[in-house]
Amino acid sequence: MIMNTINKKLSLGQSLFSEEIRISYKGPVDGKIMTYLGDYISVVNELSEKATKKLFKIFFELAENISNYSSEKIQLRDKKSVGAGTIILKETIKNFILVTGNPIRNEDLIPMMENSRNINNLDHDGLREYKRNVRRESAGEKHSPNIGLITVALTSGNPLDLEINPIDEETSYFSLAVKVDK
Amino acid sequence: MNSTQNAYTRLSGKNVLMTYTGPFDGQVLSMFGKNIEHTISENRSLNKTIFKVFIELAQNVSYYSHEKEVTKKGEKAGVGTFIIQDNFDHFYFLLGNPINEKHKEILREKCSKINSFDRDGLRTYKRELRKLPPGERGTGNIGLVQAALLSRNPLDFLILDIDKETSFYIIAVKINKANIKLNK
Repeated sequence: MIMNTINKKLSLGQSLFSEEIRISYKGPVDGKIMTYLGDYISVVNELSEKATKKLFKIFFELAENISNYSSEKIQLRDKKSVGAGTIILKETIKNFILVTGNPIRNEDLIPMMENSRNINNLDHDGLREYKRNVRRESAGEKHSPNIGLITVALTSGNPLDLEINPIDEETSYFSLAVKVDK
Repeated sequence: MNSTQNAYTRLSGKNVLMTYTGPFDGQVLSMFGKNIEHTISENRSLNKTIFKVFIELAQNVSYYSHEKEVTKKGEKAGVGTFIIQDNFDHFYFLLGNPINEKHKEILREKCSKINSFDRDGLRTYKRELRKLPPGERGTGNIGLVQAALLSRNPLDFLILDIDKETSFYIIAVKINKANIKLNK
C-alpha cells in the first residue's frame, strides 16, 4: 500500500502514520463510526472468515469500551455524550493488530489494570471460568469493561498488550493492542 | 508496545481533535462532516467553515487519490488522511493523499497560483473556473479556491516523492478562530 510508504516518511508531528496502518480514527466513538469501521473490517479480504469474525468481535468490544469509559466526552448533534479515543487497524505479515487508546479516570484504571493482569495470567479454560465469575459479580450492570476485555482475550487467543501513561493527577492514557492471527 | 514514544503521544497526537486514515467514500464525507459541524467547537460559524473546507478538500481525496479501495457498498473511493488540530488561535486542517507523479507539477502550480491572488482575485478566478466545461475543470481546482476563500489564509502545500511513479500530496489550511463571527 502506498499509504504505508508515506506513513513511514511522514511524521506530521505524530506517529499515527508510522506503521502498517489499514485504517485509523481519532474522535468521538458513536454508533455510526463503529458501524463504518466495523463494515470496513468485514471487507478486509486478506483475512479468513474466522479471523474476520474474530477481528470484528474484538473491534466492537474495544470500541464500546472507548464509547462508554473514555474520560474525554464529546456531545454530538443529538445531545448524546459519547467517549472519544483512537482506533487503529494495523497489518503485519502474519497478523492484524487492533490498537485503541483513550484517556481514563484513575479511579477506573486500577480495577481495569488488575483485571488485565488476571487475564494475561490465565489460559483459555481459566479465562472462561474467570469470565463466569466476573459476570456473576457484575450482574445488573448494563455493560462491564472487564467482561469486554476478557471477551477480547478469549477471542484473540493472544495476551493483551497494555500501556498506561499518566496525564495528570486524575487521568491516565490507557492503550491496548490486540493481535489477531490471519 | 515496543516504541520509543509512549502510546499517549503516538495515539493522541498533539492538540489533535480528529483524524482519519482510510477510504474517503460518501459515508465518510457525510459522517465526519456531521461530526465536524457539531463537535469541533462551540462556535457554530467556525464549525460550519471547517465543515465546508472539509467537504471541498475531502472530495478531492475521494476523486483524485492515486490509491483506491472498494468499500462494502461497492463504491470505489480514494484513500487518504485528514487531521484537525486545535491550536491557540486557529484550527489547522490537513489532508493528504498519494498522487501520480505526473500530477505533481500541475498541483504545485495550481496551489501557487491560488496563493498569488488576493480575495477579489480569488473570486474572479473562481468565476472563470465555473465557466469552463465540466471536463476541463478537473483535479479539484474549484475546491482548492473555495478552501482558500473560506479559510482566508494561503494554502499550505507539500509534495513528497515516494518512488518514480508516486508522490504524496499534502494540503493544509489554517482557520483563524478570531476571524469567524461568534454565533452560538
